[in-house]
Amino acid sequence: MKVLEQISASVINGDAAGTVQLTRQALDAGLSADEILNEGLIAGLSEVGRRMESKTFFIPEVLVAARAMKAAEDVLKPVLVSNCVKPTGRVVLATVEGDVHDIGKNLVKLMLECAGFEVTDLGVNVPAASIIRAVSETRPNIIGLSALLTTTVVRMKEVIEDLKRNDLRSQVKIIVGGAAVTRDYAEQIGADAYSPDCTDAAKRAKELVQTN
Amino acid sequence: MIDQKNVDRVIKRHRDFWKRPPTDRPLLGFPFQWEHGLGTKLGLKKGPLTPDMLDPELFVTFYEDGIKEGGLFEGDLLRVANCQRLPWAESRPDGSIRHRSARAASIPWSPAIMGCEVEVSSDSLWTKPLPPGQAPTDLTTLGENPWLAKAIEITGVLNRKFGKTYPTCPPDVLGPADMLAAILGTEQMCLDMIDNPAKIKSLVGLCTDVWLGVHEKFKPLEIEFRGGHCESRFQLWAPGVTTVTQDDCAIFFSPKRYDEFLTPVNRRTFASSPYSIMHAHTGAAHTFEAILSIPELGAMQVHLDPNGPSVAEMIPTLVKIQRMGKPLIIFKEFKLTELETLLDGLRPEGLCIMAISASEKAALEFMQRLIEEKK
Repeated sequence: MKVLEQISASVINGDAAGTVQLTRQALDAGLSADEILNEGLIAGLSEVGRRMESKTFFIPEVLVAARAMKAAEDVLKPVLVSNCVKPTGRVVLATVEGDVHDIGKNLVKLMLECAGFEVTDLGVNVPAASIIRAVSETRPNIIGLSALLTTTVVRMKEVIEDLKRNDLRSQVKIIVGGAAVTRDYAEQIGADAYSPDCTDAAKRAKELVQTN
Repeated sequence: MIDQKNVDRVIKRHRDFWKRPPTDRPLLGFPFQWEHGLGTKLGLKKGPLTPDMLDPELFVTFYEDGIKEGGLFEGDLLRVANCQRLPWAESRPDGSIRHRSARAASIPWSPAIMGCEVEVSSDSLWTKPLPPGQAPTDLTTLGENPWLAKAIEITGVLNRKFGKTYPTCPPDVLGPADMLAAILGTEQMCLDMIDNPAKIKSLVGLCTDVWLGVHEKFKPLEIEFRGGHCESRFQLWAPGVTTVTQDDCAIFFSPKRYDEFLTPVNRRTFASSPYSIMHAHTGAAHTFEAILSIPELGAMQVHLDPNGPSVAEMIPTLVKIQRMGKPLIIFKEFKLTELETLLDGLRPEGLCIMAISASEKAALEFMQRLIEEKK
């Protein structure tokens, strides 16, 4: 098995130590950081996403795979930075005010990072004002909003209204998701995209950046 | 005063729900409306909630006024006085006060009993995982637990006030899996499933012990109503005490892990009372087979998630539950067409539909149409 395939397999198995070791081995063998990232780590994580869609993998498997990928990324980061790889786009992510559920948002963050996005994660229970501030400061291409509760989903609309009030709405695309959110609701509040899961979120984000 | 004839009629329907004889229509209830801005309405400041902040009289007033205004029924469901949902007082334009409550104001009794801090935010009550190094409550410390003491105190007050006239019951205690997720945090729970399965097995066992211990403490508070008992979650009457088990976090368990970690503990919770209900979400439909395989299960409640499969897509799964001889409770914010799909696809025997509705008027129209269609 080639080292890139071994890296992929190691990510799929959630083996953090093994992934780090193989990543170092690949760098030593003269493979580029880009190759290792795209054909090894991201390829592995994409397979994890596919297995999750087909219900052969569940969230625990995704989380350990993510942990393995993150550990290897730390090895690659200095090389990637020195090569000045340009991000696909910038995203501000948040779980809206009143909602403390973060597992879905964290998985979306991971998939976005794998897709080459630079992500500013504002965390959970984030008031609209903090999101507006982050948009003003970081000028993202996209805002990703998550809500799990039917009671907190209304906060998404407030964020969009606040963006309009601050003349920021036209500068940013909005993706919404989470257990309490539906496609209909996303359309109703004027979001640019709805995403039912983390792998789809990364696809939607790429589309939004390309059409922008 | 409550209409005794109506109470008899409703109790008969509830009894039939469990026994499943031929019937003209399912049980249909409109349990509550969703409300926003809870923190403000509750008069609670954002921040920690402690048991001493809960005034039993607030719950008494809520049910007194609620029953006076809305009667004992929410559709076919009974208004059961309990301390599950935190009530608030709302000023009307005419200056009068209306007492209301909502599901999102549900007090997280069991995570709190396990030792988790409870926080009030503008829209919900939530708990923090236990900090590293803090041991969760176990049976040796349960007796002096302040949250359990408060639940017992409020239930006692409600029993004394309403016990002879209206149904009352102790609050919900979630289920071992959700208690586990609460104390560890969901992400850590998922990682431990792979890194340290023995820890998960041990902790979920401890949560089950506490779940059973809490129900044991609640036993003297179970007041009989019309020869049976009511539960707080779905407001159903049964000839005996009903316990509700909730494992919302089942979505994180593969069928294999569900069988390994949760089937044995659910068997213990279901077996602990004569009637039991399992609350489940369509997002965790992959675990339904494991749940239904437990012979001690009384009834299954399926929450049709807003972004999950459509009602039509769920019909085969729901039919399967009915074919396995389990009473079925379905919960959703229904469109009328979805309700029709459900009624066409399922047998009315042992079926209870809980429809969240935008207004009382819409709920009544819903009910009226159902009755007329069945004439």
